[in-house]
Amino acid sequence: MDVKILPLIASLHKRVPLTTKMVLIVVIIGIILWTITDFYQSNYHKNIHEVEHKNMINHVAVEQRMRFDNYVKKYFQSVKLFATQKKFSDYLEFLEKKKWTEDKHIQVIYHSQPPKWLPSRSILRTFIPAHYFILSDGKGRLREAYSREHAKLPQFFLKPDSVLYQLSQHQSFLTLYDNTPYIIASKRIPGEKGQLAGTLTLACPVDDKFLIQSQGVIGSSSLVALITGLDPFIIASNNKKMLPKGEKINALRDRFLVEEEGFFDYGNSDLLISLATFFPIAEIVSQNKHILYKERVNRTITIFIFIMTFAVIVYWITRHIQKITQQISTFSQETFGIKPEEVQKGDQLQILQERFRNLTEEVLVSRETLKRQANEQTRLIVNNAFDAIVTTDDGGIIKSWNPQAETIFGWTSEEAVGHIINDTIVSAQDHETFKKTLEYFMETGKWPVFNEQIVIMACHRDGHEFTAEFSVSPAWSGGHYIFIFIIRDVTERKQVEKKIKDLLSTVTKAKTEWETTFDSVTELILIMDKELNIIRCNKPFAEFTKKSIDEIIGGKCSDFLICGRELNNIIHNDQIKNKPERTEFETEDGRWLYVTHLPVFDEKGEFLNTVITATDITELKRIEESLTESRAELKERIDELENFYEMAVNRELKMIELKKEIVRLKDETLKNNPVEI
Amino acid sequence: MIVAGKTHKLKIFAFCLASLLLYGSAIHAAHDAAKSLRGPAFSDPTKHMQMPASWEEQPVKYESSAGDVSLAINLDQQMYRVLTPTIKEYAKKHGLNIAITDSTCGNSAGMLRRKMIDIGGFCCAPGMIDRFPGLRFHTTGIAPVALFVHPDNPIDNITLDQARRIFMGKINYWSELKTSDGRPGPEVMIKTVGRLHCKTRPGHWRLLLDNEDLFSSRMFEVGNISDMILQVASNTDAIGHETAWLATEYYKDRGRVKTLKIDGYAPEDLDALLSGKYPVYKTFSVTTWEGKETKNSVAGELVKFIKNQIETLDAGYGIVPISRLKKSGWKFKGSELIGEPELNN
Repeated sequence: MDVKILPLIASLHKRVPLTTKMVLIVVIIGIILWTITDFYQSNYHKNIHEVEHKNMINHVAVEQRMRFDNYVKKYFQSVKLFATQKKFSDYLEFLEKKKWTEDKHIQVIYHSQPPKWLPSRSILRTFIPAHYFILSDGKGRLREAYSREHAKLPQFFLKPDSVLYQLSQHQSFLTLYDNTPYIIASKRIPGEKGQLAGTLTLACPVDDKFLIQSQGVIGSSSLVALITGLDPFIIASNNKKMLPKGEKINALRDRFLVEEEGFFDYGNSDLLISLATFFPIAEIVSQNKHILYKERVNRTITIFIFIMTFAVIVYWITRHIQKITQQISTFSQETFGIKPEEVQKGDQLQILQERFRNLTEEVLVSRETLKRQANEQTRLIVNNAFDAIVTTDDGGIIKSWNPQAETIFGWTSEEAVGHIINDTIVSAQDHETFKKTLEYFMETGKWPVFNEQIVIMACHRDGHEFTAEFSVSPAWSGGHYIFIFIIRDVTERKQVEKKIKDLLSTVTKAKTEWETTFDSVTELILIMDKELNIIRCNKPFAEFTKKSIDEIIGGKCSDFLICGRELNNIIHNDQIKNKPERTEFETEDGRWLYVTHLPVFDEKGEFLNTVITATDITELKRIEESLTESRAELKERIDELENFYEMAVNRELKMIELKKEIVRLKDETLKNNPVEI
Repeated sequence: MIVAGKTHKLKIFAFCLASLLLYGSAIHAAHDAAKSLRGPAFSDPTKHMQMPASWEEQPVKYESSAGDVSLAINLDQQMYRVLTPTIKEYAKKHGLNIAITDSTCGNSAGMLRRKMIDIGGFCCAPGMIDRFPGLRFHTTGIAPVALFVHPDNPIDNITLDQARRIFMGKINYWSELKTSDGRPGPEVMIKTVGRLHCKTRPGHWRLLLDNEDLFSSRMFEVGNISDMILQVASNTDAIGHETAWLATEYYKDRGRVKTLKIDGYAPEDLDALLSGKYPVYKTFSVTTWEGKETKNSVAGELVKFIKNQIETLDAGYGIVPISRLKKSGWKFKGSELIGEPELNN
């Protein structure tokens, strides 16, 4: 190809829109496929039609043969029937009586109408439209003849030989006279004494008319011919124009499908005659063309619809490609700050490809930058990490060693790299564990402590051992595993942890003690949050309410105590008042609680919760009541005693007074009347 | 009482005698009836057609369209299909240009009558109308005529009497016959298909029923073998007749058919045919001219070759050669088969 043309094609390829190109390609492929399928389909149709027509012609040929067979057979059956009819035997009897066989000079009678020894014309038409009806006497001499179409009697019938009658007397006989085939059927009629009284013969030239007549109206639409000879030729046909007499079959084979069969072995024949059925190949071709034309039209419409559908789809895809291209441009601009290129026209896919290539380049550049940055960041992280970061290969050989590792283990990077990590940093007591852990991973591919902290005793360069915490992460790199060890000196932390642990132990102990105390006191203790939900209660409370602690936690005080609502109100008010209160409540079962609630506030004065302490004072109440009653009774007794005292004392006093009065009076009396006394 | 006893015995004796006579006469009548239904197997070889003297003097004159031939033969349909390749080989070997046509007995007879051929082939035993002065028949063999049905037909075996009654239209339904396991055949009407060729020649279908008037008026007649096979192969209720090889082998492209046994003997059982137990067959023969003007030594040699070929022919063609026929007691006059063997029972 010319070198100048290539850039032109490339330019065209780029400039032509994708939809146009795709449609063009589809049209070209469609035309090629159409041509190929048309070629195969045409051949396929041709073959199918040939087979169908062959089957059809076989079928037609069978029908034509059967019609012809029946027609030929009719001749002999008809002559037998005509010879046995009464009018014929009467006529023959009449001639016999006239001793017609003995006539020396005979005058042949030619009838122009059906003679009286034959059935009427309608019957003749029904049975057989023979051409010649011949009556001969006992000596085989022609005596009377009737020609249906007033045709002249053939010469051989004027003086027929005995062989003719012998061959035609038991079956229809096909023979050739004067190059014309004839069908002859005869019936010899014996006389009273067994002598031959006469012979009735039916004959007909086997010509076009005969053939057409044999096929009837139904068979007139198909082409049929009688053929004979070693190189078969037509002797009669039902279509002179297409199948002319004398035409050789082999010459017709390129114009007709031919099916030939049939020997007239139901009769006698000294003719090699066959019935051939023809079907014009032109008609098959025409039918084939018509069907193919219809199919081609259908195919063209289908292809057109397909192409249009495809074009629409491609257009839709192209629109999306354009959008994607636009999105890539926007992305490039926003992400990488690259100025978008001018909107190009042409192959949208190529434009997208170009944009994508640019984007790829941009991404690669960015990736390299990011990679560099990441490496730098990694380096910084590793170098400035508080932990020692050591990498090894799958054999445990140290590959990298950060500054913190130098600090923790005392070895410089140069000293440590290339040595086995186990020997370098692990204390003797943990060598085996460390080694087995690495071996386990190499064997099973599983890391028993993956992403978990391993605490081992590490060894400093100066020989002192310390507690170190490892985390190990394997990574697949360059076809091998590398192990990233992050190691931290946790000596101080461990000490802190120990302290915390001790503290925790103390706290736990205190907590246990507190809880034991909490549950051991006889008071019912509840702790409620801001919303007055019970967040804690002690066992006595649970026993008092006959519920489990779990059932109580989260509930309201009112759920468990009849006085709960009232208590809640009080607590709520007291929260505001920020002071503890004491209250007595009677429960639904008649028990008395002495409730103390103490709101608890944080250092900011925010309410945290309320601690409620309830003491069962039922007994106290009972004693109090009893005391009250005793007091009343005592008072009553006192009153009574006082009354009695008053009464008794008063009476005594009165008595004393009276006595005093008496004494006075006596005295007075005595004074006045000392004798009377 | 004694008189009464004697009378009684006499009555019984008379009754038995009458029964025996009736039975005997019934069997005799049935035998006669069967015999009368069967046509002749062969014609009288001594009788022949009377031809004019001028005819006898006529030499054999081939059809002009045959061209320059050294021998003209017309063979019957079966022999043409069996022998043509070997005859062509023979011609090639002997440097002969032999024109062979494929046709019928009637055509052979016609061509012989017109003296157009040297050798005429017949698939039927020659009738009187075939016997022309100076013409000699050479039997080449016999072949069983099979009765055949559609392969789906469950009937496998029928008696000769049943076969006759079927074609006569006296047995009309397959259910009137029994299958091999004793069950009745299908309840469908029997469709008899006949090809009543060569009515004036003895043998062939005439051994089943002598003449066309004996056949059922319902019988469907066809004009050639191909249509016969086609009809039976396409109708499960049909029955037809043809030589076994043509029916089951040569025309199998027309459809498959199944041959029936007659009285337990299959048409393929050539021993049964030889012994006369299989009753229906065709006689194949070829002719040579023996007249002064017509004799052809080349034709005589070819006939010998044909006979030898048939002797060595595969049994699958179903043709019994003359050597076996002679050995089995079939009667010959010269080279022509003229009678069946005497049956022992």
